Amino acid sequence: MRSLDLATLLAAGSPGGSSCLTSTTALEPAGGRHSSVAPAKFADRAKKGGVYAYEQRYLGDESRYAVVIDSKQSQLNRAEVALAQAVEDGHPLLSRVPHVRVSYERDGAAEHYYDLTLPHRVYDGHIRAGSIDGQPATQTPAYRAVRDASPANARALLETSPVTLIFGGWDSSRRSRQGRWRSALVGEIVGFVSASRDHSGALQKPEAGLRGGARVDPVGMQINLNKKVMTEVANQQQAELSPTTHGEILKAANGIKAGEAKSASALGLGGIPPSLDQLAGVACDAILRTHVLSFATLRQMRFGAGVEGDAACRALLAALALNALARADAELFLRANCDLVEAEAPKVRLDQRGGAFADLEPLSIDAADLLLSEALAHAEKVADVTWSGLAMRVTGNPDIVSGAVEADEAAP
Amino acid sequence: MSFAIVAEPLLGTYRGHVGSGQLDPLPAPARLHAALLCAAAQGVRAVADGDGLQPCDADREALRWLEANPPDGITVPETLRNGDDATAYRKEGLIVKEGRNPLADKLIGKPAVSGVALTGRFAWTWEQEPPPPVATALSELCPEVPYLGTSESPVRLAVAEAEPTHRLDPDADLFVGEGLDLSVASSGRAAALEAAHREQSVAPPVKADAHRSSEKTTPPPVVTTGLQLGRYTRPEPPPPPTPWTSVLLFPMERPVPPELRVRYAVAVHRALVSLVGDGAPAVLTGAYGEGATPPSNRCAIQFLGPEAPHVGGNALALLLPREASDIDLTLIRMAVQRLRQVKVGAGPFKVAPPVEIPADQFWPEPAEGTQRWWQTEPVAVPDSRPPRGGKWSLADAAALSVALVWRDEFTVSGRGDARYRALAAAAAGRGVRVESAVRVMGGDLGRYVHKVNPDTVIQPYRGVLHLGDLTGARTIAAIGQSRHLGGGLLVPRDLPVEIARRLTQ
Repeated sequence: MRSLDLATLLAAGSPGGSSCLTSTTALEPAGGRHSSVAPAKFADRAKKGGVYAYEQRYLGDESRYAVVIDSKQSQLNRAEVALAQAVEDGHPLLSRVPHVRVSYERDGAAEHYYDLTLPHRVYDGHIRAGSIDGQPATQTPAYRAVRDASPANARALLETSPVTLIFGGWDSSRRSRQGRWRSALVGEIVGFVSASRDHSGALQKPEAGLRGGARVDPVGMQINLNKKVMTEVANQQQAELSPTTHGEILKAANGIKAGEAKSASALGLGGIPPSLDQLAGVACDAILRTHVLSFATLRQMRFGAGVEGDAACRALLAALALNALARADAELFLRANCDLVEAEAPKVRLDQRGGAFADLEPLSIDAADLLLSEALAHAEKVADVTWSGLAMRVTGNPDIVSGAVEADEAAP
Repeated sequence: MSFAIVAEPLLGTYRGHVGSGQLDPLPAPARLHAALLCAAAQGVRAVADGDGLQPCDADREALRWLEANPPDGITVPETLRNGDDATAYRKEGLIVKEGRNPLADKLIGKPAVSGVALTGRFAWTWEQEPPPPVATALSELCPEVPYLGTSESPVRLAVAEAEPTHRLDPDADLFVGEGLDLSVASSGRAAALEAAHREQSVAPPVKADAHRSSEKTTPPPVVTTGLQLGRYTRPEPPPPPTPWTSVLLFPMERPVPPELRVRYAVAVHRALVSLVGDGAPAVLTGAYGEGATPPSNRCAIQFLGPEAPHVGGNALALLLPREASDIDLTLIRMAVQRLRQVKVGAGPFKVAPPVEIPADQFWPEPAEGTQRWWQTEPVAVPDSRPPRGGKWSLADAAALSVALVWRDEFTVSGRGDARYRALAAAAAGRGVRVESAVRVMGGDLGRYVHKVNPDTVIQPYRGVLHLGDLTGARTIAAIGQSRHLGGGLLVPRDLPVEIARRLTQ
């Protein structure tokens, strides 16, 4: 089995190159195959409370139900966060990856956000609403060049926000010449679950199990406070509470009449009787993590560097995507009660057209770093690429930060 | 198959939307055309066009060929449709005022699960190989297509071999009948998409690029030029073998009343056995040696009234069973040529020399706008007593009778009552529906059967039923215990399509 090297990436980025690279990994619960895992929770359109996302899939030729353990969007977010973390940690190579920073000042403290983690990457509203050197960002030649970048020449993006080229981005509010970049990397983790079938053989959607929940307060299962004390305690904890929750508690306190007291459960006081209404884990008999890196997508980008130079730029982007993937795959902590381990080494296959494939060694973080450094050096040499870290400083629009609300309040 | 483009979904799912966001169950030929145009217009094969790109001449030629030659067939693998109430909320990257002051991020909820899962590959097939330059261009263009539908459904596209599951019906009336009505690119499609893209590619003036406090997504206009619908239909499977292969039809002078048909059929049966003489085959006599397994059906004798087809009047029909050997059939055919008169208690009757009609071309075609159902003539008699353990209706009995006639079409396990129930269920699985089954009361019920076990209760019934995909619309058949001797003949009862559809649901 050969290892993935720069020559392979250059060939894949050239005319006639591979369609894609796929990486498939069998996972299992860290506690053993008998353990359950907690899949991602989603909102339910039909009722209050979270639900798991079940969908029908084929495992081989067998129709099965699978539960989405980590969605495609979440998997990409993890890859982006892995890169962002490396930049944050001052990784000498990844710190050179061009990126855009939006800075806000809130309560006298500076806050920084990056195209690496903003939801719409370089086209995010926080960037478009901000300013660069005192000028609205959208009016500056540098940001206009980013927005005007097209498959015919994506150089401005390569040197400002390459993550937009590999994770995708859509300049969806622009009146015309919208940047529309499909993500070159996609992936997901799904777990196959058992499901019964009806008399016709059709699968019946599994029902998520429920588990009990309770809270014991050793001081008392119910703690009632009068108006004065509840108001004081709420104000003492104001920093820990969201504005909405704090406001609701004060409103409730104001409604308490003299001589009366009401439950302080909203302040975390008192017990909660047991109830069977929380989603339990899901037992899976097969968990698969799959990623696809599309070289066909990368080949739909040119950088004004000629055939060889453009191939070098694509190889650089592929190396960056693989680096993010290697870092994200190395951390299998997804969420509480969802600790997974790799049941076997990832199977990495490179399409070589015409039904031929090459099996490749899985990429470790060290190998991915080496590959990225070689790809960058080659791109510097043949495509005159310059990656020197922070490429665009944006001052955030103060109107926005003053209107920011906590995520849990914004969610419906 | 001469030429095919095959798409292999890499995550086992296809996700796409059509119209105003409805789930796309499969990528239509127009989507393939659009994906190839996209790859041609901005992939490595594209050529410079000002500050943009455009397809090279070879790819343009290939796209024009696709427009002039819609796929003759498509391959649709087994799919499972997904979608439920699980909703993923995400920030959309737009700053939207929407009544809030000051500004806030916009959250949008989308289904967490959508699309179809599939086992196998989609394919678009052509019966004729394209001209070599077109075939070459398509072979090289296909691997440049990264996705079909959304970017969440990456595919590997290639020119390969594939067998279609549905074929284009160029003469289809899209308002009548069934099939997959899919968007197909026609002449001018690529040019229209390119023109729209060029128009959308002009950078807006600097002022128009200014950030607005209330933003919304502005998707590009949908281009409908050069699109038409093509109907792809699944080829009708050949009808199963007919239980009886052909019919010897003897014209008669006068009709046989329904209540006398069994008696008359018995008389004809005796006459035929007598004419064949010693060594009359078991498929005619009904007497099988000990230990022999009787076939599903043997020679059946039925009577038709003044509307009998082919002879334009009353007729005696001798149905020849599929399971008969050539020797047996020859013996029977030779003997029946001598049948002229049949003696029966009510007085002898004469028949004219027979004509032989293929059983699957016996009845006339259904009238336009109708669907062929069948009515028992005069009555049918259940083949067995009701099985024990659970409900059993006359409709179940009718379904069982149908299953016993087409017994070779079913593989069911179990014995006795369990087998009867399984056969009735299996017939329902093939689309057999019983619209009505009304018991015939009063009179001598024995007139509808020839021999019956003394312990068995005879329950003759009149029924209207649909035979699903078990047989063609013109096939003659009979069901039930008396199907070989004057009972249970199925005669056409054509129902208006709308009514028939409701009944088959």
